Amino acid sequence: MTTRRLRAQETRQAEPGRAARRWRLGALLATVAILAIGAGVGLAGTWVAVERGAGFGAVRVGPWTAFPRNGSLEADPYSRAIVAKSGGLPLGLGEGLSFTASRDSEGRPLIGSCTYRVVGRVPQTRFWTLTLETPGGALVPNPARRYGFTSAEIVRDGRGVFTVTVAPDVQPGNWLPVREGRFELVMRLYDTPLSGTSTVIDPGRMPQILQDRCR
Amino acid sequence: MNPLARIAFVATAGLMLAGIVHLGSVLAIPRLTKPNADDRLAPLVPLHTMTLMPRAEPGSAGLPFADPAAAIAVCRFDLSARPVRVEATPGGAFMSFAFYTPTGGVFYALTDRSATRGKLEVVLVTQAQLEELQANDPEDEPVSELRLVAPGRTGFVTVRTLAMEPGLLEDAEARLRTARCGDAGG
Repeated sequence: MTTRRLRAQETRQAEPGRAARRWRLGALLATVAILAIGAGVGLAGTWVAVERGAGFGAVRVGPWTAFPRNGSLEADPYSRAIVAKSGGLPLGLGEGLSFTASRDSEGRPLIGSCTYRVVGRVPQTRFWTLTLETPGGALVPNPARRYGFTSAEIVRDGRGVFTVTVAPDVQPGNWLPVREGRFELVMRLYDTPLSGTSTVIDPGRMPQILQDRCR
Repeated sequence: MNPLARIAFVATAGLMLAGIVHLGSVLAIPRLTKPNADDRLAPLVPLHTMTLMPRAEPGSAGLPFADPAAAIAVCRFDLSARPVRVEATPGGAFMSFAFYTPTGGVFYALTDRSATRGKLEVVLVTQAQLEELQANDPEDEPVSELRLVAPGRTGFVTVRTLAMEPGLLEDAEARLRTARCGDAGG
């Protein structure tokens, strides 16, 4: 009789102990899961944002994108992180504005096995340059040592429209050589009244990038 | 708690933490990225010395995303001891100054349009140095120099000028060789 009662007491004491232990294990697992989700998803989000170059304050004109605020301390944290990672030095707002295109006017990625025509006008600016770069910001070696054009070198027609041909093989006129792989076109406007103030630019004011044919 | 509620709780808390981690890491990248812009320049550019950067060519040791039509000189500054004066002579061509924090943020830029008597000149100061300079300014004559308060003690200045044809790059570099950077003196 006495022994049985004692046993019953023991079981009653052990029950809450086991429940508490199970509860603690559950809480530990939940904490580990929360930390793992937090660190994993949070850092993955940062990596994607920085790698994709998705900063705020972008000014898009046709295929061209500029980040005017990168040239000032008003740049948003994403843009600042992207600039810090790239190692490049953005143009100051008072110096000029640089537009980058990694796709043609129809949204297809720019690739070195295709021929493109860059046709049109340039917004009001004192000088401009058009440069062909790899996505990492390096110039593409070529025997002609032609890496870009400046506003002084370009031949325009009577209406002020110019054409630059980006192609892997020799072209008549303004030829910008390219090699296999993806590339980007960078249009830098130096001493332009566009800097900072205006964020809306008529697409007709920037050149189009038209794909001709591919190998 | 039933298992479904527990999963929902863990997912919600995890995603909230993910948001905090994401924002925190984005904000921290400029400070944590090593080498930062200033560290990258340090081996090429001694402190308070206007240094011509290597030409932008394939495989060059210069800066990435550089314009091959631009010549660029850099001066790294440290205002701990005294103000720093940056000056250059554009000689009628395009020339610009851009002032950067060590992580590559631009805090001021100007072009040769702001030149006075054919010279571009800026005196970089800290807030304390500006107040000291102002206390010593003569009262009867206006201050003619442009004083720029830097957001931090260190950073760097770039001087850019353009070569509108590849053959003019040497002239552009010669213009940059006249640029000076150093002790602002009296």
